[in-house]
Amino acid sequence: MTRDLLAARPPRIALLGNPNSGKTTLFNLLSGSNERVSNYAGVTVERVSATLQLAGMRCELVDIPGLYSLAARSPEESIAVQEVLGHKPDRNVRTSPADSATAPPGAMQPNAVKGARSGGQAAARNAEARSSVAGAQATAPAALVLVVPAPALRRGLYLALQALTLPYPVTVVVTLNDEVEAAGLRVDASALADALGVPVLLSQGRKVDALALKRVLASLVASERPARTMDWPQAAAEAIARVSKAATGAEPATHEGAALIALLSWNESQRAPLGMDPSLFAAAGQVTLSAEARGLPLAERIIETLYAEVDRLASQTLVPGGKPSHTGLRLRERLDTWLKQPLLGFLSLAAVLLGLFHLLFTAAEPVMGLIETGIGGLQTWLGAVLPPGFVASLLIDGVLAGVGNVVVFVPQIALLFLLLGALEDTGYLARVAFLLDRPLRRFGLQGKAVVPLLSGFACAIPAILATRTLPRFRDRLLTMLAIPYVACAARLPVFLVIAGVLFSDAPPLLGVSRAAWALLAMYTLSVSASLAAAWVFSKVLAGRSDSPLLLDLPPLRWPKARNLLRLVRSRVKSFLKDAGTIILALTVILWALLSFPQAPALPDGSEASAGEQLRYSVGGRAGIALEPLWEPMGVDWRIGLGIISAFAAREVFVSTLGVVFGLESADEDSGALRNQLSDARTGRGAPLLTTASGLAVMVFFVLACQCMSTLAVVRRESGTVRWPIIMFSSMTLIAYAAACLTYWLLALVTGT
Amino acid sequence: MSVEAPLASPGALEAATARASANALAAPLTELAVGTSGCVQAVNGERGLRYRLLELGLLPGTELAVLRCAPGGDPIEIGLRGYALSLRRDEAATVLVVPSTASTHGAQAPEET
Repeated sequence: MTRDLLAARPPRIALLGNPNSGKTTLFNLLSGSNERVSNYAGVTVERVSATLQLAGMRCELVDIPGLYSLAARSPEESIAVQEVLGHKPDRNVRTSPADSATAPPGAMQPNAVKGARSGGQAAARNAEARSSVAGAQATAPAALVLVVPAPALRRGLYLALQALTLPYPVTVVVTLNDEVEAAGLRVDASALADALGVPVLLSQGRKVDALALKRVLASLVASERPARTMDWPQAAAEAIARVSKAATGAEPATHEGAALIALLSWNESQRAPLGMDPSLFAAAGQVTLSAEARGLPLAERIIETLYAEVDRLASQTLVPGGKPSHTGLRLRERLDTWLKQPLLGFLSLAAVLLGLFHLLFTAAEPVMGLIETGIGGLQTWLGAVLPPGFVASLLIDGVLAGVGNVVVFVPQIALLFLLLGALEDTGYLARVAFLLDRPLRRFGLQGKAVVPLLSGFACAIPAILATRTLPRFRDRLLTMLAIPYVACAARLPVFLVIAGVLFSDAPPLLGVSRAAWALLAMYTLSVSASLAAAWVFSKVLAGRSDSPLLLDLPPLRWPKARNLLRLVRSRVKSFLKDAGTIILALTVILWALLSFPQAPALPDGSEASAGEQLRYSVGGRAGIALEPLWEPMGVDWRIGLGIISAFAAREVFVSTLGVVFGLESADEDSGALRNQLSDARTGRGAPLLTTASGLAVMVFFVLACQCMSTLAVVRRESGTVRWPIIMFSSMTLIAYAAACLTYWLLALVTGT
Repeated sequence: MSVEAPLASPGALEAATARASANALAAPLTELAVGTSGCVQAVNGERGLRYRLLELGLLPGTELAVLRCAPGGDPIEIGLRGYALSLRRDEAATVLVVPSTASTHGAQAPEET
């Protein structure tokens, strides 16, 4: 072993386990990081790592996406292979530029994994390889933590056995023991430790003893463990030996394990997954085909042998014990059955969504009002303290009016992530995916696309990254093109401000506020639009969706408060960070554009009114010049300015309106933006926002792709600029046309 | 590297056909009614999917039960080896099962013992 060569870099400990095995909870427990955990198959898409102190030694802890087998069949799974097997085409990376030009590192990779490769992670890892001395071994993990969920012990042990054939120090952590205990069973940790020859830790109920695990890991990192030998049938043993001879990596102890994984991964229609030695993969293909010519299904024999061992292990270690509690179990099962029934399933889905929107309006309102009052108070105080002039105007009508109006939405954003996170962690969203698979396929989408589509309600960027769970590139692309229509959290402030203005005094309808109904309508529109987009593109794009759906439905579970709070905290933090940087900068620029040049004094010597000054400024004049563009939508240049600035980021709409109306009403006692908006009048004295024009603006925001980050991510994940360009232009056109149509129709109906 | 090999070698096809016709009682998993159970006899279908289904524990001899199906009958949810897995009818059709003669009491996943 050449591990000591790497003393310069911290040893890497990788967490490996099935989806929904509690792996990420374990990661959070060890690292205290912001990574989120979920009940949903395949949510951990990007490489997540943290620094860990083990007995004074600095280690890197990596959370690998959940998977069932080291035989990778999707870009996401190949990330795991890369972490565990660690083979890289490092010769290309380390040799002279001329050599790498003839054989670029990515040359062996199929299109489907380009996205995963070109991400920051791949770049970082290539940099790692360049700086390393030991080449291929550089990526060998110092230790593996195999997370085995007790309720699916056999499936977890199958993956664990694959990993044990590699010669890395290993500890097994058996999680979710409360669920088997409720069924009257328990896992015998010492029997499992004896049988596997590695330390085994058991969770107490839900809880894992972090200190004990750290102690075990500290002793493991410097240790050695021989690869586990299996009792293979002769044909399988010969095949593994033959394939392993083709290995080119420098650490011979890993060759057999890698050969085993190559035999299980090989497929005529696939290329070597990332992280696997391509020559091993090719040899696995030859060996498999020649065995099949003799009528011997090689991989089947290998899987059978592994499962025979798994069954032996499980029968030894899963013993009667625990306290059976059938009532809770039965209740949960009944609820599960209801949620998956056609009628009750869809009814509960509608109820859950309606409840969610209603809560967004009502529950966050008091906190929102508090923030509004606070900002208003600050503005008044600054107005009293500062001498009138540009500094005061910049702070009061620029920074505070702009950024303040975005910060007001923090309670709602937090609530949205809390509720969506809870729905995800209970396993409810997995049930929704089960219900919606068939309807979704009508629109050309893969059933698994439900996962990224639903996370699109939070933010399109992680949603697009989550498409890496889809095995085929065509499915990924279709899902990516559909995601930007899904109403993300950044649209929420826009919806809330407009719906708040339109329906603040209207009586509730069927016990739910009218604003919540409007919100539901917008979300329905967004879902329909995203399905329609998928359908259109599925007709245009060549090929057919034929990737399989294999959905792991974990039992319904209570969400973990700690994981949810972490999620909310990290989302709020990034929202506030945006507000403090991008939005602040844009706000200041906008304030300047709307404040200069100064309007000349009136003939009688008095200053121009705030409204006249606004119209005289560069920004105001540009906005007014563009007014004809917004007339078909029923709004004037002020709202138009908000729409244009929102192409940087949607929340900027709110901050822009804050600045525009803040400056305009600088003379008067300015209230909260919502009051200013409902008081706003058009040039003809009619209310600026009517039901028709307000809803038209909301429709525009549902359909337009006003997010630079989304376009950048699509560019990266699809590999060309073609798709972001198509996406942006089609969405903008559709949004404009739909908004104008909405205004025209509603104006006709309401007679305004 | 190019792996443009034919879809499956003749040997594999023969082996699969032999497995399929070994037991006349065997039927595709899609034929199993909700609430009934069966025993996996063989997994056919495209190599990647076949391997993955086997790796998820659908090995010949494994007991499974059809727990429920989504609206429209697709996908279906099966219980095996103590956990629940849902798969589409297309994929389920590649799994051949021998239906159990004794009807199971309710939709229960085979317990893990």
